[in-house]
Amino acid sequence: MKTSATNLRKIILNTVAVLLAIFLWQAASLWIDADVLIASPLQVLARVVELLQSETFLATVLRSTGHIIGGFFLALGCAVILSAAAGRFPILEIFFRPFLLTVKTVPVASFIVISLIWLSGNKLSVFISFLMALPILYNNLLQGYKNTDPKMLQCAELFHFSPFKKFLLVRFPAVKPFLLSACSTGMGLAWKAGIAAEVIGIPKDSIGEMLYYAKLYFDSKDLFAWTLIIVVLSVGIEKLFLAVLKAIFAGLEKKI
Amino acid sequence: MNIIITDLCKAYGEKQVLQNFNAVLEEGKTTALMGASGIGKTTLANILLGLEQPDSGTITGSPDHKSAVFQEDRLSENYSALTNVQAVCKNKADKEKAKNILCRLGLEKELKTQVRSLSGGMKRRVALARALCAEYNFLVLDEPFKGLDEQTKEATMQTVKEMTQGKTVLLITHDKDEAQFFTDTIINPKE
Repeated sequence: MKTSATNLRKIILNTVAVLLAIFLWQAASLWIDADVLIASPLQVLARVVELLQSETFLATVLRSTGHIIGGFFLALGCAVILSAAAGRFPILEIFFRPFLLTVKTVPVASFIVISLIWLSGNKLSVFISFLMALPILYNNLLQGYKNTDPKMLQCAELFHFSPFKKFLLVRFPAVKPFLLSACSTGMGLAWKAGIAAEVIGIPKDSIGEMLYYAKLYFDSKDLFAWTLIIVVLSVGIEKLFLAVLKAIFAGLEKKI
Repeated sequence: MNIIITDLCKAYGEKQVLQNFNAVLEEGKTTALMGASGIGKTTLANILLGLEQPDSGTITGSPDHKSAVFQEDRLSENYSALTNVQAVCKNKADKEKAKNILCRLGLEKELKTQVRSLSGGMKRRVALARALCAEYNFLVLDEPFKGLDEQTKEATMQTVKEMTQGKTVLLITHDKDEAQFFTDTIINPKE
């Protein structure tokens, strides 16, 4: 009972916060009174509806989403392999460190410009999303691996757990919270970096291209509308992915 | 075969935990290991279980299949009581055995409950059930009844005694009555 009241309060507060932000946005657009500088929430909403009805919208969204999510999954796969290897053989962690530190510290714009020399605009967003998500995923997964309770490992040794049981009962519970948090952060970062790569690489029929032209023609309605679409896509896909991941985890936990 | 411990020594840095410890754990019988905290009871248990190496000394007759209740429960908190016990099972028949042992220990209503939701005493019984369910010739019970209320403790001790009849068991405890309930053979590493 208390929990549902707390949840209701949280929902109300969140709604009020969003409404307040929209109100401030509306007030700012009225005060500035120049569409070129800031479009109003209603104008943006109308433009989003127009975009949704356009023929190329779905293809544009799917193309960009495919590239960015593709890069993210590539990073996830690599992070799983690299972190497991570094966890098992600590010397590898030392060898991986300079590469991951470089990726973490070099500005994303530098990577985009350098990568443009070798990669087409299409592949660029896949690569940049991959590159930006990899260190976060790798570091979190490695931390999870190291977080495994050594006493539980002793337990697995004593009872002769198979590698699968050892993974599910000992490693997985330690890695799970780190994996969920890394996926949440990593996916957000993949979207940000991936779209930035598209704006610079301008692959045809991509969200980045739309943003680039919106900027070029000072079309703030388009700029705001596409930004809103990116936010909805990013948050929506992240929530969906985490829900799928949790369902997979629940299924795995029943496998013993 | 008896487990014969000869001149066992173990130190952690400067601290000598076991010094020329000798003992015989008779096959098919329970031996109680008593003594104050920090005298090396758990270290000895870990060495006997093959989880730690002694600095010197020998152990002969140590069986291949060992099981244990550790000082801590060492359960996977996200999984159910039954899953934790079934984790040590090798086949389907063993899985049924896991259920039976949990029921015998009074956890029939908690079979599907996540371990994290169980009380301390219930977790202890899940750890006991897992140790009893595993295939073993030698069982180490390190303060196995810690955290149980008097009534549950009595019932649990009775069940454990019945289920370990004819097995080689090392019981580590601070409680003399508990030790005497299981055996007349009581040893102390410092004596």
